[in-house]
Amino acid sequence: MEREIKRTLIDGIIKNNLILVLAIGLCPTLAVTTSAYNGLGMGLAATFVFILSNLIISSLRKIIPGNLRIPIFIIIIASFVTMIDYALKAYLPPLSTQLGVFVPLIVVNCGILGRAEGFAYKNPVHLSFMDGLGAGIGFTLVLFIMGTIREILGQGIWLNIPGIFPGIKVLGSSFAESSIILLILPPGGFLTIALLMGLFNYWRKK
Amino acid sequence: MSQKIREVSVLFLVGITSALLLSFVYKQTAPVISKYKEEALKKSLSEVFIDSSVRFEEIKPDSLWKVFKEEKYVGLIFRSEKKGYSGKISPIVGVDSTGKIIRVKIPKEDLSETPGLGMKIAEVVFLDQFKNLIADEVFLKKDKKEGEIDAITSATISSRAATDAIREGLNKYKKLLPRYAFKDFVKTSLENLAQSSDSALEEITPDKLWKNLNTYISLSKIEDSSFVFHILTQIENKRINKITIFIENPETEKEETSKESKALKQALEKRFEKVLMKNIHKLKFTSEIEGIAEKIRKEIRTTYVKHIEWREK
Repeated sequence: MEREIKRTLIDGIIKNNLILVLAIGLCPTLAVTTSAYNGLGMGLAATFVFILSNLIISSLRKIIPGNLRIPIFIIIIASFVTMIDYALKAYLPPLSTQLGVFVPLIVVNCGILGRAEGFAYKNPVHLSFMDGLGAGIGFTLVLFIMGTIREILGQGIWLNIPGIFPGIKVLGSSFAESSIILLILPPGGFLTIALLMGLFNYWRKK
Repeated sequence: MSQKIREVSVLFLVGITSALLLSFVYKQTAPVISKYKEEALKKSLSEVFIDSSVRFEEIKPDSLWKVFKEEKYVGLIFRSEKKGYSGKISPIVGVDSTGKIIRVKIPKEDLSETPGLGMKIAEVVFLDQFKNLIADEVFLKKDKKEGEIDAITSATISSRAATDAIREGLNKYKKLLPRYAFKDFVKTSLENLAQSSDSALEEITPDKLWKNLNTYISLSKIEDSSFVFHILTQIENKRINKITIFIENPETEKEETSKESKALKQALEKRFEKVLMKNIHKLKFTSEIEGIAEKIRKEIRTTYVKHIEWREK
């Protein structure tokens, strides 16, 4: 039992890594990773939703009819994320402003639907929780790493948190002036993700 | 059969439950959210006007406020809008009584430009450039040489949209400023003329007569029953190019902006436009405006005669 739990968690992070292995949820990934902080914020918010949606769907799995599961998943996830968005706007406005448009974006994160369909629907609650947690951790890690790479090489700073922390000029001020802007733009996202996928899967094979 | 019923009921239940939960959460949070929005707006208004001892009066919801300091009208705040790179850019601008920008703010919550590039227009580094500028200076340096704004590298579209939104708002609401009186009207009209002909304006008689290339511009004042008419007449060779009228309310000493006076102003300006001097007596007017139109006609004739004298000199 315990080993199963641990196994599920680790699988969520590595073997079933949403971005690098399963290649789902790529849209928000490319859009959001222009800075480490953005990546981290989106990752944490998404993790929260992964866990909760997995929990709900797993606990309702016995009564959700097979051929209606997709619409039902979508209703649950969309209502859910919307409620979280309202709650953030009302009770944690500064955080809501920082996360901004990323919160509603979670609804279209294929990862949630992917895990719901691929795991939570067929597994007990405690394992689904672990899967959601693992998927979230894996997702967040990748987002953070991608964000770091794109921010450092693309803008010359790291951990810029708008309004709070100007970031560390890791490669010096002169690089910051004329960094590789391409990395902040869409092509940069594709390049970075491709590299990471290649490296990660190479490492996994070994 | 019962399987279908079961399916439909589950779908129905999930739908209803979600809808109920969602509307519950919405009802709970909506008042909190709108209160927060109001406070954030008030905070923005104070941020763009600096002086904390003022009060704001909303003139147009979410776009125009007049600023009062102990009952004295000292400036205004407007919010204009322009399409940016991926959404609307809507800066809040505080303007003092002379038309100078005090501060600009672009709330992040309402901005959806490219993070790391276009979003930078919301940052102090970019917005500080607008401090103390007047409308004519609010251009990107690369768009006009009088421009004072450096665009953000690789985010020209966002930078330009923000800059243009601010400038257009300034031009639109300039007339409402406390000190926009007829002196400013004259100055602005003359500047527009000089700009459009790309040559300098020469002052011949202070506050009365100017020359721009072949055009003579004279300023006259006509007092009517309830208003004062300031007329800028542009004469070129033997023709009135156009007249520009500023109708002043003698009690407030500011421009009369009622619908009727706007219509009157436009009717008069249109009639006199491009009229040859020899045909000026042929112009016909409706009975309502006959009175003032006749006075204007006389005034223009006098000006024309004088203008011939000036030319011969």
